[in-house]
Formats: sequence, structure tokens, C-alpha cells
Amino acid sequence: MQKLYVITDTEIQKRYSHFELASMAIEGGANMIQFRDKKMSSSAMLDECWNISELCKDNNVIFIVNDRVDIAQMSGARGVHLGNKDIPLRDARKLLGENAIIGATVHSPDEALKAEEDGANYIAYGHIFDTKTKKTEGKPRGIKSLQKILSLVDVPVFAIGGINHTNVDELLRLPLFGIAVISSVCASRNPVRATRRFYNKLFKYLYL
Amino acid sequence: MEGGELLELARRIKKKISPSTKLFINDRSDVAVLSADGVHCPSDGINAPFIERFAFQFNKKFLISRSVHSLIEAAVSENLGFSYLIFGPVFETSSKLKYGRPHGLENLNDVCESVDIPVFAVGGINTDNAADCIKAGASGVAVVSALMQSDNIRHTVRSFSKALGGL
Repeated sequence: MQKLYVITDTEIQKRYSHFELASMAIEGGANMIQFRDKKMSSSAMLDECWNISELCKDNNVIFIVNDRVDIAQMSGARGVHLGNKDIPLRDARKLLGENAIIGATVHSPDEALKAEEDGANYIAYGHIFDTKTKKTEGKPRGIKSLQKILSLVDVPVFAIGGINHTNVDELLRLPLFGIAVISSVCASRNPVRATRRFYNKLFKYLYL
Repeated sequence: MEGGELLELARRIKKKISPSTKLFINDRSDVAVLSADGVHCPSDGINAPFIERFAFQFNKKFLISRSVHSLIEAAVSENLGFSYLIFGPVFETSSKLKYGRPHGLENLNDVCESVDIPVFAVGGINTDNAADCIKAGASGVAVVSALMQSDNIRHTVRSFSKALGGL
């Protein structure tokens, strides 16, 4: 396990801004951050992403912008994360170049293979467990199907969706590149500590 | 509309229209660079210099326009490097109610004279008042309701073209 990926969300909670969440997650040990917001105006988005991008550079953390290829490029982010309704991967690659990190959300083996073929640098497969933030996307995929994805593709795989401090244990021995979390950090009482608890589980495990 | 769907639609439109007709995408400069001739920025959109640096790598002629609602906004936007401006609402209109009272032809004239880049009039433009906007110094007009609510869009566009002295 190499990456603890925190996605900032200001819809499931209103206490903290994206920047505040990013900075708390980094303090807790996150080494990858994704900005996701579908409501902000483009100028506010660029502002926020610019600041998070600088913060991430200072802390050697990879910063990814969800959906908006233009904002990703302009803010100095390392790349963009695309869902299946966003700009196609190959088009995003044209805009960002070979050095950018482009990730894709996938929900099935077919989508995983397609994303790999289209040149994704990583995929996020989910949702693995039951979650409130992805309620529109049907039943959780579960560990078995995650294992299938892992055996199918060579591209780095993140597990995403409903991961909390208890069920994360089920993921620790899988050959995942990392885990991606939203609610269990953003909506927790103390996002720094919530991230730290994931960090301890993920990276202590390396030395057991 | 999500980025993927918007891109697909924009590419379909671009294929259909004549090469001399410019296609602009609202707000999304990534979609615009991939499919259109320019991006139109709402007044809370991204500033031109950022878009230039991003878009000019792919298209040196990429156009960047912006909506403005005051003289000062127009001046700032010109300095920032926007290619042209859309000023309004000039007349009463339902689609621009959130921008407050109409500015009228006199304000349109002030804005047109204060900047060197082209200014388009927007807001409540119809075939009767379109020519007045040009007289006030506008380089053209932008229409929403008059076309979207028209029973015969083709015919309405022709009437506008005639009202503006044939385009």
C-alpha cells in the first residue's frame, strides 16, 4: 500500500473548506489529495485549487482535480480524476500531456480494462462498501470483485467507497496501490486524527 | 451538463456549422479547447491570462470572451486580455433578471466607447431593437430568449440578420 488518498468534500459537511480539509488530511498523513466540487464557480475553483496545489507541492503530496481538466492544468495540479460522464481519458491526455497523472473511476472489470487501455495512470474501483456519498450507484462491489479487478489489470488500483477505520482491515493484505476516502475523513469530528488512524493502519502494516 | 456529454454535443455542433461560424462554450475552457473556437466566461469565470496559457498551446487563435455588467468590469476585462465582451442586460428580459435592471442603450454606448475590443449587446434583444444596439456602438448582438422562444428559429435568425443590415 503506497497511497492514502483523501478526497475533499464540502457537501457532506460544511464546517471546513476544501483547503482546510486538504491541509488537515496532509497533517494526518495523506499523500494524495483530490479536489472535488461540482457547484463552485470556475474562478473560485481555480483559486481554491491553486492554494491546495501550492500546499501539496510544499508537502510532497500529489494533488489531483476531479473532472475539470482546465482547472487542473491552470492550478498546477499533477493531474485530473475522471468519472465515466466526464471528458474522455484520451482527450484529457491531449490537454495535459504524458507527464500528467490521470485517474479514472471504474465500476466493472470492463471499465477497468478500458481505462487501462486508454492510458489511465491509476484507477479507483468502487464502491467497495456501503456508502452515503455514492448512493446512486447501486450495491457495493465487495472485496471479491475488487480482487478480480486486481488480478485483471496492471495499472495501480485504489479501493474507494465506504472505507472506514474498521473495514479498512479487510483491504490491508490486498495488492492495492492505495485507498481513497471521503466521508470517513471529511465528515469525521477530527479530520486530522481520522486521517492519522488510516495512516497508522496502512503504513505500519508495511513493517509488521 | 457533465463534461463528457457537453464535449460530444459541441463536437457534433462544430461539424454541422459552417467553418466561418464561431462556436463558443460557456465556462468550460477544457471542453472548448477540444471542440470549439473559444470560451465564454461568465463574470465569475476564470480570468483570461490563465485560459490563454492553457489554450494557446493548442490553438493560437483561441478566443476568450466575457460577460460584463458595468463600465468598470469592461475596463478591467479589456486589461486582462479578453478578446471581446458581452454587455447587458441592455433591455428588459426574463433570462437575465438576476442581473438586475436593464442598463439601456446609453450605458451600452458608454461601454462601447470606453474599450477598444468588440462589445456585443445582450439582454432583451429583438429584431426591432437590434439595430439600435449597433448604432450605440455594439459590434453585434447576442440573443437568447428571442431565439429559444421562437417558433421558427431559422426565420428569426434571418430577420435579425436583415435588421442588422445583412451579416
